[in-house]
Amino acid sequence: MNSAEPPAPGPVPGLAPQGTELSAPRRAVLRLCAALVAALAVAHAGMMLLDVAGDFPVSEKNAERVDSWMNPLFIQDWKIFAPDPPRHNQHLEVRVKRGERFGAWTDVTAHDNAAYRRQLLPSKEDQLTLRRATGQYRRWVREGKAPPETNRAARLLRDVVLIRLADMGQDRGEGIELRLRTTPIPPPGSNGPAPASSYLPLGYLRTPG
Amino acid sequence: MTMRAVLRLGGGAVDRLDTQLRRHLRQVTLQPFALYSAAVVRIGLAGLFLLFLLRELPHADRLWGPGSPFTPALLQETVQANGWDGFLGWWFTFLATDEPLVFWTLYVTAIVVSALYLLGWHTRALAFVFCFFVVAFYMRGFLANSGWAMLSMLFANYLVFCASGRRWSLDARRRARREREASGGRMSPAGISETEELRRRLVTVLHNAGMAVIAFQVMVVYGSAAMYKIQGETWREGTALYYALLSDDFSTWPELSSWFAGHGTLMAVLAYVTVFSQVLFPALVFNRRLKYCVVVVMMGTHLGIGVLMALPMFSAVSIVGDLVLLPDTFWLRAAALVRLLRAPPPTAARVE
Repeated sequence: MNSAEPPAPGPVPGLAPQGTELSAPRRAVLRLCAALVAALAVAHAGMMLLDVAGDFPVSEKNAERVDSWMNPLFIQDWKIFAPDPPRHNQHLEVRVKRGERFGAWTDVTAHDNAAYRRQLLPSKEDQLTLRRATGQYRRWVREGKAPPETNRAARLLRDVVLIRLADMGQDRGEGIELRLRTTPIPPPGSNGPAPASSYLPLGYLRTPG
Repeated sequence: MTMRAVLRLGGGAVDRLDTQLRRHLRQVTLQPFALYSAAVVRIGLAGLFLLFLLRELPHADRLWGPGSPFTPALLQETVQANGWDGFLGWWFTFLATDEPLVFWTLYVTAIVVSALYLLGWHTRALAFVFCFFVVAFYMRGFLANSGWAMLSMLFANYLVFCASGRRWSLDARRRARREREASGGRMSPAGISETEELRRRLVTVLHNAGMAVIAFQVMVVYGSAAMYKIQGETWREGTALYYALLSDDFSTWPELSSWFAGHGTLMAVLAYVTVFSQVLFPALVFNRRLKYCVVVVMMGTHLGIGVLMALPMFSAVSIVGDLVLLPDTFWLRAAALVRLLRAPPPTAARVE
């Protein structure tokens, strides 16, 4: 890396090469291996660039090759750096069906948020699990693929919610109805009344017996 | 000047370039670069992973264990859906078990491995085991992986290739003691066989390539983060931090966050500083002096994100990544400073 820096005087003579001359066959082995390592490093760096620049024509053409080289061991999903923070807060609300009647709406997101607040080192479980499960489920709802019983995202969100309901002392009932409450964040400098929330129904998931 | 003279001049330059290139290439096989940075990454990464495993102890069962809503069956389906069930499939589903005893045995093993790797005990072997566990935890927690999980997995993978135990490790201490004993107190390296020299040079090449890839990875992280930000409208108009601070999902202390969000101009300036430092990072780190400025700015933003936006692990591992770019001379001076501070006061030392 810092090839211009002076060699560091280590405390130990240690394991560094001593610079003794090598015989021809050994030199050939060294050159071959060094070339191979350099080629691999350059190839990996190239793949990394193609992976992060996914819309680039060359990346699109080689998408499959890049994917099989990089994922999952060298995954590069830097979109999590929030390209554009949302201008609203979204909470998942659920209500349990018992017999023919539904219980009251419960804000599950608020339950998890309360658990991670005021902690210097919050747990991933309170911070991320519900949000990711909800995100996956919503993607599935938008695409409308498989029925909820067989869909991974639906099964996952159902179990994530059931665990939280149990934490709050609620029973599982026969099923849960889900909705998403979206509250806009007022733009900077505005001091009118708090903006109203809107609701998006996210369907009904049966609880397994 | 005649054409011939120009050609001769040009030829000379090419020759010089050629010998210079040869010298550099030779150095890459002879000199393991940035051994201290490699040690710092090892210590930082293993320490953070150890902290992470200990902190998540009460949540481990639901995050990776038999109590997880992301059941072994769901993990298996996810791995298959992504086409990762090839010859490494067993590794990716290694932690998936319904047996609490098996899971907790593996969890405790991972804690011990992290601690030993942190200390640098049989470092190279432990690097493989550590990497094995980090990847296994990443895959088992695939449902909810953060930026911290991703960065730590990348670093753990690359560190396998690096000689991270040469400095500041139990290995280094043991070796130094043995060499002192063998040479009767004088530090004179014994001659080594040609095969050993070849092995050492190969290890050196691998180490240098690994460190270069880590540095490149850090630059790619900042570069792509900057590119994503530039595309976002809120970053361009300077309100990104305002909205991020008022998000329910990223506020450790909501009152503190909304106090900061109330200072619009400051937030806009900080948003631009964030974007510009990330855009310029890959370029500035090549300058020997500006490097320190940009690293300090980066650490400031990481600290802010870590504390205010509830992302401490991610911030910490990013700081560890930044440290890769500091040269050995920096670490030697830092170590000398620490020794100076810890040394007894001069008056006490002069008593003979």
